[in-house]
Amino acid sequence: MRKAFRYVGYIFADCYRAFPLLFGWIILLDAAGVAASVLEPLLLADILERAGAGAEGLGRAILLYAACLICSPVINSLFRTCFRRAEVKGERYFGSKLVAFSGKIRLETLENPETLDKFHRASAGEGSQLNFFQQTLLTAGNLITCIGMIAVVGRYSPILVFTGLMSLIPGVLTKLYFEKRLTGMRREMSAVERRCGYLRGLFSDKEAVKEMRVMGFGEYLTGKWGEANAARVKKFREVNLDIRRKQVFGILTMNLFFALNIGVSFWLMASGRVTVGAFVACMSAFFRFDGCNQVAIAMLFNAMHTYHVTEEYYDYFTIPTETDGQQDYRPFEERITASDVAFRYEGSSGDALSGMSCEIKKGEHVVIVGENGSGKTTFSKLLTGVYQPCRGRIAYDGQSTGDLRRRSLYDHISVVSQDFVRYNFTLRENVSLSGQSEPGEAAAMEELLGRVAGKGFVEKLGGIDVQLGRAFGGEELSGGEWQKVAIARGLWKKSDIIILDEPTSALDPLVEYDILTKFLEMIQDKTSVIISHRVGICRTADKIIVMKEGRMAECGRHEELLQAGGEYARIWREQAKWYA
Amino acid sequence: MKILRNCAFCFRIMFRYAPWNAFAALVCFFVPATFTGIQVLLLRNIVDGAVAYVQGNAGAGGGIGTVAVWGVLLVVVMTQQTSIQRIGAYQMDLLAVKLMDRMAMDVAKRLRELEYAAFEEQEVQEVFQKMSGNPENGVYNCCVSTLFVLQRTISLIASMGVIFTISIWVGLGIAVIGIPMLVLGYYAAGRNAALTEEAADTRRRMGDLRNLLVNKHAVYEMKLFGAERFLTEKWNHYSSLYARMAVRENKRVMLMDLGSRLLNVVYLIFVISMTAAGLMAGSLTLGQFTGTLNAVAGIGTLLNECSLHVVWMLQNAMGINYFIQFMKMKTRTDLGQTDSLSCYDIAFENVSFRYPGTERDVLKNVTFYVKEGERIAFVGENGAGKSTIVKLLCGLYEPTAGNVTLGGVPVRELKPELRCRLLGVVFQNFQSYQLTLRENVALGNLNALSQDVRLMEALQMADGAELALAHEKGLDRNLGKLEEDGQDLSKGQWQRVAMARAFVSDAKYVILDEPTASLDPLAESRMYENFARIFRERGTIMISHRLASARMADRILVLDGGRIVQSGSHEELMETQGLYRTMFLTQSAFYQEGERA
Repeated sequence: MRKAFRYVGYIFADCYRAFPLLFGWIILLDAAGVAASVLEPLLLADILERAGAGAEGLGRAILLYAACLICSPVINSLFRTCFRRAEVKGERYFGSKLVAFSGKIRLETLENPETLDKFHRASAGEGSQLNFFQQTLLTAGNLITCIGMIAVVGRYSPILVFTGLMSLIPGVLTKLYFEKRLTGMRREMSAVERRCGYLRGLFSDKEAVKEMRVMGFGEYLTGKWGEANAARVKKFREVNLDIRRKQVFGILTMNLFFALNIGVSFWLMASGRVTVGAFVACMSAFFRFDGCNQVAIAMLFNAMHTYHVTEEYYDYFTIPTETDGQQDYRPFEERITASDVAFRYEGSSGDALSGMSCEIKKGEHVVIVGENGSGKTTFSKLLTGVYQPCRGRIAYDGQSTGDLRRRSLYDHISVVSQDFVRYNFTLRENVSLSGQSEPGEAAAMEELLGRVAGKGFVEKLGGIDVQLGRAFGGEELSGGEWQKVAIARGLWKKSDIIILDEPTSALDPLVEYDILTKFLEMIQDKTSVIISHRVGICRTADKIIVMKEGRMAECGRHEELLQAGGEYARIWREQAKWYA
Repeated sequence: MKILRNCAFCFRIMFRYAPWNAFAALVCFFVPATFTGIQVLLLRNIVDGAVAYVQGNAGAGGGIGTVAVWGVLLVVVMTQQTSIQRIGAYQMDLLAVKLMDRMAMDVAKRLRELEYAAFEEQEVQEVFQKMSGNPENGVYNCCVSTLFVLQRTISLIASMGVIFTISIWVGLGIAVIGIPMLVLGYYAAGRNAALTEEAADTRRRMGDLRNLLVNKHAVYEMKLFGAERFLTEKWNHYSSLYARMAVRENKRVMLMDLGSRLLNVVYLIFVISMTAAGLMAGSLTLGQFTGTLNAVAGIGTLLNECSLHVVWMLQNAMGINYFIQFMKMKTRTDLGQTDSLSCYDIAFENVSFRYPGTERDVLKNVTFYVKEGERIAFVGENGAGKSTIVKLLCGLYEPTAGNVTLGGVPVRELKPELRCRLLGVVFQNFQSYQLTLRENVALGNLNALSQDVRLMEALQMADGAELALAHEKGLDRNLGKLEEDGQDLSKGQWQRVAMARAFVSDAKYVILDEPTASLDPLAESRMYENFARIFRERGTIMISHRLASARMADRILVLDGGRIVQSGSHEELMETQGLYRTMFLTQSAFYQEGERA
């Protein structure tokens, strides 16, 4: 039990931190609501007793009762108001917490698809803390009211305490039992639901529909979906309907005791053991009891369910975060060296890099070539220090990337990544993202974009403050244009090392050629590393590193390597033969 | 009006799929609705009877026996109310199951009957999004919320009726405060919906930013560029923008809520003083007094709930709009009857095409012929119209002008089964299905589903045999993350599976629409070479913007701006000055000098 609800403390602590003042108010109001509920039948009994015994003090009793009656809706309203305010604050608090934490996760961890899964589940759980908080309060409030009611009727006769408790306890127990069963079932159900949802999604996904129609497997998939749906329906029947049936049974038992309560109090009155006033008070108490009992049980049920959702949120925070180095980076003057570097992605069974060694001198233009999966991109990420080698080390003039304060190193490196991101921001933000924004940047940026993307580019879009990306009603750029923006972003940052990972996506060869030559012109004074599939650009490089199966196969200048007749010569010939 | 229409629409669906459950649910919802009123009456009678009994005035209350009868009745009413409601809820569950079972399949059928053109339309995609795959839930929710509203309304009327029998003034009071309370409550709840709408854009921005924070590519850039701060601040900006909107709306809601509560309090004071005066003056009995208070205390909550449910119902009913729109979408017209052909030549004659709802002609007066068994390549820049030709050939769209025929028959007049037998396509954005490897390959030709040898052969040709061999479950391994034992493949591996799909098909023509985006140019060329070799005796259509791949075709068609500008073999095209030559020389420029060196 302790382990199962390990986060309850966190939830309350977080709620307190998110809205300390409101937290106090909410609890106070909840307590006040309970008090008013408990008092009500007592005051009513008072009226009735006085009414029976003559008019003495009746006015005062009625006044008190009225005050109590009026209090309830006011407290209720205040409670809701406080809660709505708390919701706004809570949403921000829990959202920021998630966002802030996400920034600290290691990039390697993000490569693991499970992390993304966890994030989405955590997002779904975000804000459920408030629901849990509310549901717990309501459960507690209503349970206390129930017990208060039992205490009230207990004043008249101990038998009623017994029957009252009997109508409370079985309900709570059955709910606890159902919740336990449901949690297990829900997990099974979600697998079935996922499968069903996936297959159904295919029928409204245009790419899938296209293939379905052209290859004629629509019927086959419909059949599969039918099966999955039948399984889903069956599961639903088994789980939900079964529980519903048992719930009906549970309600019937509850009602039986409820009837018994009324019967007993009637008998008590009829046999003269309690007064009429007490009887009416008992009735009133039981009515309230019945209501609170049902709400309490329902809320208990909801709270337990919500808890499982909230759990996902807190589980996210158990993901390991990045550890930074201590040393400040001193700009390198000589060389970057990689010695026997090995790297393996989380959750993967093979090494992406195994024993990669090479050297890059300051001011060199290096091209890395190699086939898909030879580890080129991985190596570039190790060079920047965002990945840390599993074995071996990468050092800038002897300063190992692992020891450096990452930020201080990053300040000197810029990248144009293979999977560059299309930010749904303005053009200006898309470019200036890489560096500090500064006054008077607009002219410089237009100049840069003009050089990278051609003169008319900015004018065509209508200025650098234009929103990009269709998602928010902005201009949609073509793949090539987006890439030019990414290149401008990479160049905007004042760096002395730049890494260009050439995209493999369906860029037009003419566009690709155009982009590449321009880029080469603009990075003359920097140390550069270009990763490319096209060996054609190697002729201009100071050094070519040929990678194969996670290590360096060859290294040298174009002519040397061609003469050596190794891997490079093979790739070169194969590519060039198509253009012979 | 639209709301009523939508609700009626949902009810019709409900009665169509599960008439008995729907009927039972209606009864179970409406019968207990009157109980709240009856309860008050019974409570009054019991109290009065009991008082009379105790005071020894047996005649007035009808004696202890009558009181007992009232008591039993009250117990029955109280207990049965919740029980009946439970049965009603159970009936609704049964109904949900039936909708899930039957309606979902009908929706699937309907989706398959839609014109393909619809799927590429932005609006239609939005409709699908909003239906979010589960229209039966929408229908169900609409029905349930409508039932709730009706039930609460009946309860309200019943309670008021009873109160009127006790005291006209108290009853009139409800009418006086009830309407403004209802309206205030309705507005308060409505403001929430307004907030959701107003903040939609801000919320989407927040979501977009958050996704960036866990997008591995974005995180890589952000870390290097030191842009985490920028993004987090941006998120904070939108987050506080939203918070401000929410606080502003909350203030309004709070005021309305307080106003409504205040009315309630005023009314309660009024009722209590009226009834207390009545009680003291003896014009009201004790039973009437408790009965009234009991009923009145509940009525505020009832009014409040009522307005909440109305808003909920409105939202649900509006949500159904999308489903109604969906049901009205155009059905497909490409289900021809021709099921055999005497020859299999392809002809595009003066074909022009523009996508529905756009202004630009993607194809302009395109004419070309392909003989059975010929190998054709289309080249041209992005957006030159290459993929559109494939779509037209597959009959996915009706050309705006001109004819697309296969064996002399317009392709859309062929029987779909025949079309599938004639054309096998691997599209640019080929799909990765989260099914077994066997199914993934056999989707290219379902006849081969249980022919392991053929499937393995196809995988072999696509260079992907080890996908099956390296796994203990072989062809029956699950691909993708859907099943617990499933494994996702890399883009390159998926691509081999997609190619195997083409190899397993025995279509007359096999079409490759640049499915090689994830490959390096070298691997792509190898793939095309392999492909051309394997389909030596069959007709192939290859599309690529990398010219090297086009060289194995018998004939190359060069597309530019929606027109065919050149046609001929590689050698022929290289001899003439034209687009092809220019493109080829540019692409090979990198290698020319190297060759000399």
